[in-house]
Amino acid sequence: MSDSEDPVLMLRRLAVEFTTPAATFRAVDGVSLTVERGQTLALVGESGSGKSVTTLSILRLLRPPLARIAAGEILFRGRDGRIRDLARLDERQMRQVRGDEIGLIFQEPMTSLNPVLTVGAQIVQAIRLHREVSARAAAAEAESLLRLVEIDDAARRAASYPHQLSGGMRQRVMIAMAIACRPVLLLADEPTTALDVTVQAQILRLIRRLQREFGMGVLFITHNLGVVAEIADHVAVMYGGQIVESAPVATLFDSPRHPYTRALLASLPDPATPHTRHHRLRVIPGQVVDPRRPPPGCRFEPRCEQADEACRRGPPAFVAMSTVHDVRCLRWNDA
Amino acid sequence: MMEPHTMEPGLEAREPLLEVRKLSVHFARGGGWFGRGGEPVKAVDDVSFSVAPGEILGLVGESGSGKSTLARAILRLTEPTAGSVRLAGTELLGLEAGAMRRIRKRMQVIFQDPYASLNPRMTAGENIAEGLRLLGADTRTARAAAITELLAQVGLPADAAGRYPHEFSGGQRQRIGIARALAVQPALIIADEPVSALDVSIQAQILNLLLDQQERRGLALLFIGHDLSVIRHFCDRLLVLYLGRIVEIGSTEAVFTNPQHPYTRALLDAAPATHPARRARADVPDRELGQAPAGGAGCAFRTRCPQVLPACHDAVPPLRSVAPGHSAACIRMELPVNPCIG
Repeated sequence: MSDSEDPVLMLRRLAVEFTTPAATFRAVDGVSLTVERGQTLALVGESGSGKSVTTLSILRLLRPPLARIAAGEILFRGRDGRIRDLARLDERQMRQVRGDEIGLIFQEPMTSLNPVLTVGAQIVQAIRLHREVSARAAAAEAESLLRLVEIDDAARRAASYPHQLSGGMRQRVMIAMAIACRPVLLLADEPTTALDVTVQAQILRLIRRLQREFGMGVLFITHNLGVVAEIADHVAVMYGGQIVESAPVATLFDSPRHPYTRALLASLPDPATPHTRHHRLRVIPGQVVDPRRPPPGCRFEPRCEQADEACRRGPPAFVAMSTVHDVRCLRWNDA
Repeated sequence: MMEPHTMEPGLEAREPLLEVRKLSVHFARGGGWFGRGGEPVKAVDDVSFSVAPGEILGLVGESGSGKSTLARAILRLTEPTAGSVRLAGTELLGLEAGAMRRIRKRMQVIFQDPYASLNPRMTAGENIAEGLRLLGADTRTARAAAITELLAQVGLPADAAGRYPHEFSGGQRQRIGIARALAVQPALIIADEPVSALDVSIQAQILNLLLDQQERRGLALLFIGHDLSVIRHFCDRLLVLYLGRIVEIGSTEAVFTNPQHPYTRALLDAAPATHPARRARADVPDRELGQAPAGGAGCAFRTRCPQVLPACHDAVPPLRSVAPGHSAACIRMELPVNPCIG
């Protein structure tokens, strides 16, 4: 990863080990990434890529002894400018960071919201957990937060229960709670995956607007390359627990260098291409790698069209092609 | 390219495989604390369309648009309130259970989550054999041979037959779901978001597999989806549903290049970009589906429509033909100059 201007978060060779009765394996294996202030890093990957485990480790929500941080650093620069390694904080210290300096939004707000409390009361809780303000002041702030996330008739909506709101509205409430304490970093784990495309477009626009206003760093986890194209400044592509390519968003779409990134982009239907009957999509053969049984060499090698003997011998290093573009492939310099 | 399903002169005579006429599914609202009465929820309202043999018809709309209810009503898993569903000329509504079971072999369904539709206590082979038994492959050896053949067609090894659903990945399970649907040699497959739950790198595999089988068997498909790039790639014709009614229907190219209904345009505009240089600029409707009017006269989209007119509150606009095979339900189309365009 390049030297950064103004990082909020830097992961350095993070490794997360899972222990099951059958085996011990690394679900995340040597992940390094940087989220800049005011920028959005999209972490893209399929199931088993380790993207959600990476998020959980940043929040220290892994459950030992099943899952633990085995190596690496999670350097977080808080509101006061001080840098701390989150991997070394205890639960009490982490509780002060979570929901205050780091805001979170998840895929399904219904499971994160309390069904028996009004959304206004939940935002008040989120505010008062981290700040000493009166209930009355917090309630007023909750209302202004609802307006901030573009909810009409905020006073009335504050008195609603989660089930009375649409999915998009619930996600807006989650966002209001996440930004209640003006976090410096927002973790968004597939926040639009369960939403309709029209609502997805609105939520992405809202996140972009709030980021501009508050200058938060955003780590946006998704499997959807369309969403990446909409929201990211920089992209890190994960496969089998490792980052295989990291580049500015335009570079990644225009000149991807890792065979996995290339194949993934090539396998997507292009909505601008007219329909032709009998047209077949380009396919990535095989199955997504099982992190419990990674191949000895490159993790994408079994599915890679360009793989040769060297790719099977050992894992490739993460090579800096330029100051902003890194790739984990032996053949990165091939045309 | 000639496409047999567009309404070209002389081709209407071709018997549609599936013909849905004025189909409605209404649910009684409320009950319980709030008492009965009031207008029913019109999950599907006065829907008519047909699917030709070998045609792929896409069905799009937001959640709550009635896509899945429509599919369930065609399969008679939900009982329609009114209308007609004909499969190869046979009226399905009112058909008694035995006859319905026999005709259901002609139309199969594939779900988003194959795990929910496969029996977890049966091996892949046994899951597929369920259908074969219906078809009358009654000896064990005949079934085993048929299973091996089906597994090969969906790209799975023969030894997959002895394994259980949980031993497969999501993509492989969808292959088993497809093999099971194909086992009874249907003429129509209703595919309800068949690739939405799959990994991106697996989606193309399954879409290609569906196309292979569709061509090989001359299958017709009713493809429910929300990813517009997949829809444009995959479907010959497209039906856009909004709050239970068809707002636009036409060939995929006509709908994508010349959308007539403001809702269709909003859907197309909301689709995420494929390149950061083409980021969304257009405004998507700010109001969500939940805020639609409960009933009353007028166009159901009027509360979200960026181009609403006073007359939109008066009556539900009927579907009108824009061009051969392309219709939309918007009163602006009847105005002398269409102010939506440009």
